[in-house]
Formats: sequence, C-alpha cells, structure tokens
Amino acid sequence: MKRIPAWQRLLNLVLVGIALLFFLFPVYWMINTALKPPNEWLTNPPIFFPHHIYLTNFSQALIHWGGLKGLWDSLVVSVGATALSLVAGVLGAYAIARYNVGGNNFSFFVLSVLFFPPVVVSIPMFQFWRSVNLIDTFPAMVVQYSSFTVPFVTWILKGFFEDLAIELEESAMVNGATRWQAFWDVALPSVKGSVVATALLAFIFSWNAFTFAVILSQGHITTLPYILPTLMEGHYVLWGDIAAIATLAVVPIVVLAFVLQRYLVRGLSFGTIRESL
Amino acid sequence: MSGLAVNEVKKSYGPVEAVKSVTFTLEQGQLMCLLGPSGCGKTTTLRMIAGLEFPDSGDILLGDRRLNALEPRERRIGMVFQGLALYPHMTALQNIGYPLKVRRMAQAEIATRVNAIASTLGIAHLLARRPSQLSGGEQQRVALARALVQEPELFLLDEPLSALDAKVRTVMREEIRNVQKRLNITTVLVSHDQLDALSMADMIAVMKDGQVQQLGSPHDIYYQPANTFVAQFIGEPTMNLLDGELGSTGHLTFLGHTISVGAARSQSEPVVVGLRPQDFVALRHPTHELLEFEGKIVSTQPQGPDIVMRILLRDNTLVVLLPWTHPWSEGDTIRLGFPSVHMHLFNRYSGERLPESPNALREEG
Repeated sequence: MKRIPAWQRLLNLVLVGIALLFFLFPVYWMINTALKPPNEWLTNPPIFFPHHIYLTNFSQALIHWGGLKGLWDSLVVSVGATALSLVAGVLGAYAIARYNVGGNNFSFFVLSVLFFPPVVVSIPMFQFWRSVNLIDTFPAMVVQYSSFTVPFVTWILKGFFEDLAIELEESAMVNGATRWQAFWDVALPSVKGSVVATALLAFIFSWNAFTFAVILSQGHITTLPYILPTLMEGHYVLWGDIAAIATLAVVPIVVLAFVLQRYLVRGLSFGTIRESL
Repeated sequence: MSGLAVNEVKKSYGPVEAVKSVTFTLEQGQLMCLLGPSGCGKTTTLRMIAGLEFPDSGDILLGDRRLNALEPRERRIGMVFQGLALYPHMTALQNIGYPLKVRRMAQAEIATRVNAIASTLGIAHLLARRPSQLSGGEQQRVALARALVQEPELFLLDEPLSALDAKVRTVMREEIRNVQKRLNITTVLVSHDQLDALSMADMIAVMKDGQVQQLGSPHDIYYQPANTFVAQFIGEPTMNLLDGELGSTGHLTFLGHTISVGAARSQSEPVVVGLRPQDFVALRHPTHELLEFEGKIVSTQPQGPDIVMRILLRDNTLVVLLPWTHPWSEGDTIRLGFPSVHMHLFNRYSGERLPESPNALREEG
C-alpha cells in the first residue's frame, strides 16, 4: 500500500468537513428550530443552541396541525406505492431482461417515463381521478405515486437481472423447476439485496412526493409534504412547527436506512452478485 | 437405464448454422466427449440434448423416449454448467437438495439422498457452507453432486473443468470418470481440451463448423485421424503437416525421400504428410530402418524430461519432441529419424485421410 502523505490526509479531512457542513447544517438547523420557542426562531444574532428544550412545537405539529395523521397517511401511501412498484417492477424487469418483452426499445420507453416532471401530467391526472370519483383516496394516491416508482424499480432491477448469469435459471430448470420456480427460487433470491435497496429508494421517493400529493388531495388524505406548506400563512410562518414536522418526517427514513444499510451498500454496487459464479 | 441417440440434429440462428447436422449414438453407461474449438456447435448440441435449445429438425432419443419437445425438467437429466451455476444464496446442502425439493420429495428422503451422494464425492463435511466459502474443486464437487442426486438417466457436462487450475483439473478428471463409471450413467461431456476427451471419454466426436469431423474411440482419433483438422486438433505439440507427392507407382516423395507406401495407381496425387512430434527419434549414426532427416535447430523449449525443438529442414520448419537426453542448443545440426509406419497421409485438397496411410497399429499388433 502506498502511504498517503500527511498534508493530503489533512486536505481530505478538510474537504470532507466542508461537504459535511454543507449537507448537515440544514438538518441541524431544522432540529434546532424545532426545539426553540417562537420568540427564538428568527433572532439576530441567531441562537445556535436552544436555552432549554421546548417540545410544544412537536405537540402542536402532531395534534393541532395533523402531523400524526400526516405520518399515517404518508406511511399508507408510501408503503402501498412501494409494494405495488415491487410487484410490478420485479416482474416487469425480469420479463424485459429475460424475454425481451416489448422489443429492444421498450425498456428505454420505461425509463423515459422518469424523464418528464410530474407537473406535466398533473392536470390530466387530476381530471382523470376526479372523473372516476377517486380523487383524494388512498387507491388513487398509491396508483399515481406508482406511475413514477414502477418505471424506476423496473429500470434499476432490469440491470441486475441482466447481470445475473442465465445459467443459474437454466440449471434450475434442468433440475426440475418450472420457469416460474426458476425465477422464484433462484433468480429473485440472487438479487434480493438489490431489490431491498431499490424498494427503499422507491419508498423515499413516495415519502417525499409533493406534486402528486398537492394535486390529488383535497384535504382528506394529507401526507406530510402536503401539510408543510399549509403552515406558511400569508403574514406569519410557523418555523418551529414546520421544523418539528420535518424532523418527524425524517425519522422513519433514517430508521429504515439504518435497518437496511447492509443491503444498501451491497445491493446498489453493480456487479457484485456474480461473486460465486 | 438408457442409451442416447442423436439423429441428424440441426439448429440455425437466423442465417448462422450453428449445428449443421449431428448424428451419434451412445450406449448405456458410456461417456461421449464433444470436442472442438469454440464456435464449433458442441455446446449448442449439448443444450439441445438438455432442452435449453430446441432443434430445427432431427431427433434426440433417450432410451425409447423422444426428448425433442420436452421441457428440460421433464427429461430426467443432470447437468453441470460451465460456470457451475451454484445458487449463491443456498448452502451446499440446499444446492444439492434443490432438484429433489423442487420435485416435492419428502424432507427425510432428501436428507438421505443428499448425504449419500455427498459422501460418494467426499464433501459430506462441507454441506453447511455456502458456495462462496468453498474452493474451486469443492464447488465442482457440489455441482456434480447436485446433477447426480436425482439419479438422472443422462448426465451432461458443459466444460466442467474450465474454471479449475491445472492440478485440480487432473484430479477432477479422474473423479468425474470414476463416479460416472460407478453410477454407470450415460454421459455427454463438452470440452475444447483434448486432454479432457482423451483421458475421460469412451467415444469422442471431434466437431468443427457445426459438423462432426470424426467419431471414434480416443485411440482411433489419436492414431487414425480422419482428416487434417482432427490430426492437428488432437496431440500436443501439433502434428507437422508437409506437402508430398504420391506417385502413380505407389511411391511417396517428400522432403527428399521416396518410399513405397502402396499399390500402383492410375495417376499421381498431391498429398499432405503428417508427422507427430513425438514420433521422431534423435540419431547418432545413420540407420536404414528409419526415414532420416538432417536439420538445424531454430529454437528449443525444454519441458522437464522432454524438449520441444523447431528444426529447419529444406525450407520447412518441423516441430519435434524428444527425450531431453542431450544439451541441444540453437544453431546445432541434428540428425532425426522417423519410423515410416507412423506417417499419416491426407489428400491435399480435401484434407481427408488416405487409405494408403501406413497403419502402425496393425503392424505392431
């Protein structure tokens, strides 16, 4: 191993420190604000550490502003959209990778769905869901969110299935498996890590989805991204309450990422699944 | 228990004829090696037998069953793939047991059978490990066990040794052959390595361009190659091929020698003479029993007990393999002898073996 000179290591540390500061400061400021009483939100000079822990923002956010319901609604929609995307995406990706379904350009078409911004389809989708009387319902939200996460999951997993040696499934079939069993017993478990990692990303996309939430909700189903801007009133912004909701919104993602971290690193580093072939 | 018959099997991919027409039969318990360079159609032939590809025409019969239209799982075959195709998320035990589990055999029965085959192959102590925790040879054994655990009627091996290093290869050749004989299972092996074929097979089919060039025992293939392709594909170093002329009097002329090889014929014929590097001997004194050549050593390549040398001789370069009994070096002149019974004669245009080829076997037998 080549020894890295001290000044270079120091430089590395400094650069990493700057990057961390850039990304972590807003998080810190969010938590900091969430713990301060209203008269300390916007002071000059700013207060970097709350004088005492002030939890009223959280109780306000959870109860008064509907944060608790927001968490629940976000959870239902995100879990629903992720589950739907996994079923459709895994099967779709396998079909494209192994059977070239839809011809050579189909997979690119799937990818291209990700190219256009949600706002492009917002008006027609709104009209559509209203005309079928499903506006502001869980099924509409789940399906609408999936319109983005299904292509995403399909596209990512297609690559992983293509990287998987087809010999594995062929061997399963020679050993007595049907095509479905070869997929279920051998191909799918071989890309399990990637499926978990992709599912987590799909969950995060759904959790953060703002445009669809605003378009499809009329106040009945209120996901967290939908609630946040309602706290910015014309003449006064409730920074502490917003920060409290935002903090709560981050918690489930952090917990999930922590629980699944061993899949995240391995599952998304392409090419590692061939190791034993 | 059943033999295998492959009858005029053909397979094209668009305009590419991968397998032009392959026919062979294999008796119960025999091992056939499909041998050839990459792209010769040997793997496609094997995959058609396995049911992973379907032939355009022709028949594949196992015993009295016609396999053509059957799915792989209905064929009762065991197969070892080139990359072994061990399932990375399963232990060795689960890998070997998979063919039984997928056929819904009872757990207890699976355990008994897996343990039996694992002991046969000497891997009973490794069953709890995953493929990534096994060495190359051990992985190989697990793959063999998985293919054999279901007691298939036909055993297929696609380049099973290509991932192994030289030492393990030698061991596994013997191992595979032993297991195959003990279970008395009809086997087709695909390889590009002539040593695999010569050391393991009862029958060899040498293939090129989607066709069988020669079908025969390893001994036949080595001592009576049917054409120049087989002659040069089998044997290491490669057989020397030299231009000669077969005269109407039945005399062969090449490299300054004229010898009688057969009866008189209607007209003279241009031929190719094949000389295996191993059949040369170094001479100190002239002798009249052997064809004699004198040439200059161009390069030497000692290989332990033997030495391979390139000899320049009348504008031809010959490769010879001799016991390393003398410290030959480049630039030396060397006197070589060659017993004419070991010559192979081929038609210069078609490359086919000529009936005038001396038959060393008959004379020595």
